[in-house]
Amino acid sequence: MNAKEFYQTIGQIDDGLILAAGEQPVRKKRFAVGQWALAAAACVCLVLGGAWVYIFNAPVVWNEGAVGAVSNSKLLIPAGSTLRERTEAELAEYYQLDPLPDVLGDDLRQVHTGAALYVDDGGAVVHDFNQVRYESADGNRAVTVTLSRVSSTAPAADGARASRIHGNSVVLTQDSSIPGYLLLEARWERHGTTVCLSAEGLDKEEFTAIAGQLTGG
Amino acid sequence: MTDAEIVALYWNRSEEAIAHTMGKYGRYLMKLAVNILRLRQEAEECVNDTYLSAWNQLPPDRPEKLLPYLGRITRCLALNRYDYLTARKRSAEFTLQLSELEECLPASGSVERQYEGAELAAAISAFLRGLDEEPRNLFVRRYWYSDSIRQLAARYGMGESKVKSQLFRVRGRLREYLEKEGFIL
Repeated sequence: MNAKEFYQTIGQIDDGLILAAGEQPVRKKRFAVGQWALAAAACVCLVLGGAWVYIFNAPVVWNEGAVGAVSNSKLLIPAGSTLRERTEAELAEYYQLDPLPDVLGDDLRQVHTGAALYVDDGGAVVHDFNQVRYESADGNRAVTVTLSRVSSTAPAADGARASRIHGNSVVLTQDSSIPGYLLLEARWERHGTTVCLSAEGLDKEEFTAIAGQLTGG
Repeated sequence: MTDAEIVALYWNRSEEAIAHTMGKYGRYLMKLAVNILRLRQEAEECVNDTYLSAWNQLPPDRPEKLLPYLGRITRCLALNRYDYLTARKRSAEFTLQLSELEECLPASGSVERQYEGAELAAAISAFLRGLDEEPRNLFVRRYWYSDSIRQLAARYGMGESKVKSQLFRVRGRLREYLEKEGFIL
């Protein structure tokens, strides 16, 4: 048996051990006086920050949560439906949005457009996920725009707060659970279309600027 | 939604099962796949394949807990992709994890004993249950969830060197345990 086979065998250990290790650990730490002062200072900052948000209505609020719950998995396509390819212009008309730009930000260029709708026997659209991907030339930065009207996306996290970007209500989410892999997502609705923007390799400033570009800023 | 309710959706062949699985476990599966493969696009495909596999296996399977069930599928799929990525030298972290596990393999020459994978897994489970909570969870997080040393240090609020030394000790004890139980691998 080699290490890889041993790794596979470890995959079969008891569920209870896996679930126990999946729980968040309880950290027992004694606070030193300095740490209590630090905690108190953090509380004061929080109160002042809250007041600032209340008074000045800070426009950008990042929610922490899962990013990537929107998937174009083929499993979501209803059985028996028929593929109808659409041109970019027809798709824009369907979504009641302006055609997506060729370039987002400074250098993210459109690399793939999957323009298609799925209809049932009566011609009604039953699945309408469409994803458009933009990438930088070096491939290190990318954003994906997902559009849908009838296909349901996973709901935003409980208690998620919306930001105001160019007058539009946008839910911004960051997923920092994987060190070194900050994932960002923005969701909004316009004319009945759900738009989901997700990014890899972008900082928040650049991401919100692109969200602003797409929301009409 | 509970796991039992999601499983019931699979058994009723409702496509909502996939959406609920994505919502509840998508993030967890993604993290697991990224930990092994280190490439988000590969990991995404792996997670999508996990949903497909779950759709095909439920029924006949009816797991009580979806987290370990789905996680096992993701691990298996990620491992299959790992060979390809290794050829492109893209997953050094996971290669390190595998080399660490070699320390657990009993030396040949131990008392030979017939066994199957399930029997060995049961022995590893029994060994882990005999450990204190912290080293046990460290081991499971490292070799089941494939967390990096850095992730473990952050999760348990300890230094990376302490994580490494604890894992080193557990691997040594596991090797001794397996040899004592007569496993020859």
